[in-house]
Amino acid sequence: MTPPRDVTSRLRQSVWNGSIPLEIRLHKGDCITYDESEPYLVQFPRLSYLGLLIPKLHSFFSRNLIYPDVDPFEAWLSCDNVPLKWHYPLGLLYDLYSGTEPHPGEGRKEDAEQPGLPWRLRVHFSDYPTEQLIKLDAAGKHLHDLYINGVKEADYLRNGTGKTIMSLNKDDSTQLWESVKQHNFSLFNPINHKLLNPQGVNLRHMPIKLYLPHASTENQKEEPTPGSVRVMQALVPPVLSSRSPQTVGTALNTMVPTLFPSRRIPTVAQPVLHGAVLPLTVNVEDLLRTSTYSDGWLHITVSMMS
Amino acid sequence: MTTATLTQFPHLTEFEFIDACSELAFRCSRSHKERHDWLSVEVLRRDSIPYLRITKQLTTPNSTSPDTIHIQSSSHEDVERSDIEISSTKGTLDHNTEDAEIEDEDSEILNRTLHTSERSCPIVEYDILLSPVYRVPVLYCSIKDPQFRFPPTMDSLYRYIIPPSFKPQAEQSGVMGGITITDHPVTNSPVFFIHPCQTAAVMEAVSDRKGDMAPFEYLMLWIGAICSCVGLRVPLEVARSMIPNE
Repeated sequence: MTPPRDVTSRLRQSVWNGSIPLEIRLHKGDCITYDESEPYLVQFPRLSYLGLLIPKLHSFFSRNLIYPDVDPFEAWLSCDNVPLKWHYPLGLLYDLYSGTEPHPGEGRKEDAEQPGLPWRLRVHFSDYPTEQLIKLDAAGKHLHDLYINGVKEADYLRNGTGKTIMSLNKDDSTQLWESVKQHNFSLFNPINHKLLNPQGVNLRHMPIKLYLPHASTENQKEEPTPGSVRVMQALVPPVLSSRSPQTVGTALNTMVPTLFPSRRIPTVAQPVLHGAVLPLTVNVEDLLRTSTYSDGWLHITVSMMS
Repeated sequence: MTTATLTQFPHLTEFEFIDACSELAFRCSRSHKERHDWLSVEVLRRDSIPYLRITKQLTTPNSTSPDTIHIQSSSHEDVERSDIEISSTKGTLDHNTEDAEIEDEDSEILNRTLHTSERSCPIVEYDILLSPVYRVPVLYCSIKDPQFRFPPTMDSLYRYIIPPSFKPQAEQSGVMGGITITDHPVTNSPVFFIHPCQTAAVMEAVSDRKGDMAPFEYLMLWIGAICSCVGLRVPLEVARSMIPNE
């Protein structure tokens, strides 16, 4: 592929290329031998979904399974006993649960050994946590459905109508989902370009979701399950009433003022996207053009500062 | 008194949404519980997200007899004639098929199981939230069962939640139908939900009054048009209290 011409598309492609090495072991309770089986090692894209990896894990581990006939969609993954939502992109799960410090961005530490890699996960083929995880299906339709819903929502937020996504023809929609399944940028990019640049429509709102550690809830009737997070979203316009552009800092200060009392300097918490700390001064629209996940959303985790 | 017009029809503001939910909860609190199948109606708020929770007993195929009583609604015709027809059992996502008409007649007979151990019975929990994206109400529903016999799967959905007459309609749209499974916005646990991306268009189609209605009337219209396919219907008594001068 020819190198992208401008910075935006170069960044877009870098984000697309981000990946995380995974070391996946079979849960002991599902393993036929007393000793642990060999781990499955894979360099997996940050923007892809663990749900797409399940069939491969099933065939890899089938010879070690106590019940080799178990359906692939009985499988689920966990990290430190936290069931992982397979319809969240891997990068989001990593930023939420890996426990590693996010990359500080400015003060580079390129040479430093990356701690916490590979990311060690468990795959289970029994005791599906149905109360916490949506069950996969043989044809992968749930994942497709959840993905398309996310794409539609992001589109609706950006344009204030659902017309752009609706105007994609059948081939375009198929190509979009195929690009995700195959993790193929040259399939993805043209469709993404159409979605981000609808004709005659101004950008209305930014598709931002914030993932907060579930420390405090007002109404603690139910014990929060391990690893549960609070997902927040709000209508975030691209430009403030003062006509200055919306930055990460101004957006977070509006959404969660207690965690982001300052619009410029993180004091209590810091926002993390694709494993890196987001500077609060970054323009949100720039982020939208370069750094969204493949469903069009900026899935930003919030990491408390020690 | 509620405000008479909606400012962003076919969308709802958060204020209008809370107003509508509170009104429904209030009216239900004054209604005769034994005459409808809702166990509870309450306005809740968690993590600053307001929502309305309606619960009713799950009626499984084998819970209909022998300990079931049929309550024949005497007010059926009144409601039929009134201008709120859509909020009674007639409203559907789109046009009723012949089959649906017949089913609707049957469902006028409200099933109500009388168990001594009501609390250990599975209940259906309907949570209505305002979508922060589409600015319309969204219905999430799940089956709460002490013995976890009804996991949130498409099988449970079609076996226990969607009335048979709505199946063809529900299966039509989207990747796997207009009703699928997602994470609840507050609990982040899997629940069934009705895709909201068409709701605004449906609301425009079913109302010829545009925004000229109170938030509560919008909510009734919405339940009638959107929620019957998962077995949620406004009790006749509550619907009837909308008729002016009654």
